[in-house]
Amino acid sequence: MADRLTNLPESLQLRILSTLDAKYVVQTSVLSKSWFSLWKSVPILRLNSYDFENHFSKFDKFVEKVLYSQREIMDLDTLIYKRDKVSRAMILKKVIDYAFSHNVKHLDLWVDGVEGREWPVVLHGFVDSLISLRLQSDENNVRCSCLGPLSRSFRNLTDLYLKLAVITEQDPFSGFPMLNKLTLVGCQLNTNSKTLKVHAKQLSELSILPYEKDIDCIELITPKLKLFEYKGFRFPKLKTCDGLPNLDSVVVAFAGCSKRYDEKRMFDDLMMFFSKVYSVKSLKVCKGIVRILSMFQEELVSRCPPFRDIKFEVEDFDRRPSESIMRTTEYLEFISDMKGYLLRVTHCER
Amino acid sequence: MSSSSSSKMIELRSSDGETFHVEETVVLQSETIKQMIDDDCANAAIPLPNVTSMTLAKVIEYIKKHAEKPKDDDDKKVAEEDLKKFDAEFVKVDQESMLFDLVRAANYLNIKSLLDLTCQAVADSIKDLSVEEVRKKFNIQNDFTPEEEAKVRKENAWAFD
Repeated sequence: MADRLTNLPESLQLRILSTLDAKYVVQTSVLSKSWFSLWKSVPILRLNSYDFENHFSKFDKFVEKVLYSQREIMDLDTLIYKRDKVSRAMILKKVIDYAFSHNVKHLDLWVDGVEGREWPVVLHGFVDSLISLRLQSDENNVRCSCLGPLSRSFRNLTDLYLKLAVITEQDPFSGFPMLNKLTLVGCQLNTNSKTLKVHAKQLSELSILPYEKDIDCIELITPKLKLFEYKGFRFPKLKTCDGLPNLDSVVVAFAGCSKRYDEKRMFDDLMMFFSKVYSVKSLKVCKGIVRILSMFQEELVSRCPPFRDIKFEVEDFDRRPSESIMRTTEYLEFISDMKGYLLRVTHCER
Repeated sequence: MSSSSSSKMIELRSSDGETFHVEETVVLQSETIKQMIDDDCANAAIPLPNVTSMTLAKVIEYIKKHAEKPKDDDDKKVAEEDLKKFDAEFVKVDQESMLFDLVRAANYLNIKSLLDLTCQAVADSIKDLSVEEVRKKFNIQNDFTPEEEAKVRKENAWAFD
């Protein structure tokens, strides 16, 4: 009489094992004969150095052993590789090659840094299976050379997430014809211009959260963009080609500057920013922005672009609670006026 | 909350013959039942021969909770937190067999979030145990000979460091 766990249909056993890190999944091979090779069919492979209490040489050996084991079911749905400290490029390359040769759909690499400061994503052949790619470095900036208009290898990639990547291509994203969602966190531009070009015909969600102040301008050729989120130290110029006809909702925040950035300039930049997105249905801003707008109330009335009837929200996602935020009552009053300010301009024009 | 009075009721019958009346909007979380309703097979009580009344009552408790709609965005955050707490409590079942019954029921009824939740709960109960402890907990018969087991352990020693 088999037990409850062994008795479950294999699809459910695999589903349960899919939530476990690979170390524990491999360990189930010892349970009994029916478990002996089940781990080689688990569709989600989670390689996590945390399970080795950060004994990195043990973890690296484990990773190599897993990669050398012949899978029972060839295709892999998801591969997640999480390792503290700087990862060796050689091992990362093996992980990536393994993922691609097993037709992985979701690849998520999360490290503190990469040896050689470059993601070893080498593009050869076509990796049609890949739907989402996350390259995430937590400490060091890592060059990302798999971008660019010629990167047509990932023709089904819909979701790209880059953290602390160094972007060296002038036109990094037009090579992904199906790209739908793009997230850039703390990414650096290492190009001649300080313009971040986002050319992506199918893109519907874009989030940019720069840590550095080196993005002067964001050029958007994204006719299908619905959601645009920007949280930075200042507001870059927005350049659009045909406007953003499908833009529904915008989230803007700034990451609480330590030194007093020139507030007037901040206000001016913000007005420029708003002038490109005034057709949105929903606008969400941080408290810091409300504070800046409140400092120039008269100008706001005369210069704010004609927002239509929008859903206006203030969210408390400032990184540090700013001591310079207005007193609460004053603040609440202004917020209730704010939407009025944004809309009043429309009435004036009519 | 708003349309509860006007919502159509669906009748479900468990394997042991007990009937349950659930709002259609709630029960649509089950892809299996949704398909039956779409195919117009839901005029009489829907028989669920794989689900006992005890399990079905739990499943209904789950889908009812997950069908509650927050009124506004503030409410949404509170509701999300509340739902997380509910989920965490929900899988703390007295008997382990219930958890496995829920996994099977969620699979049969095709309720993805419940299947994810219960599979995760089973995995969580395995995670921190040694091989011997897992065998004991789930009553898994070790059909390896000691020599065979030693060999498997040796082959996969890199996973036991």
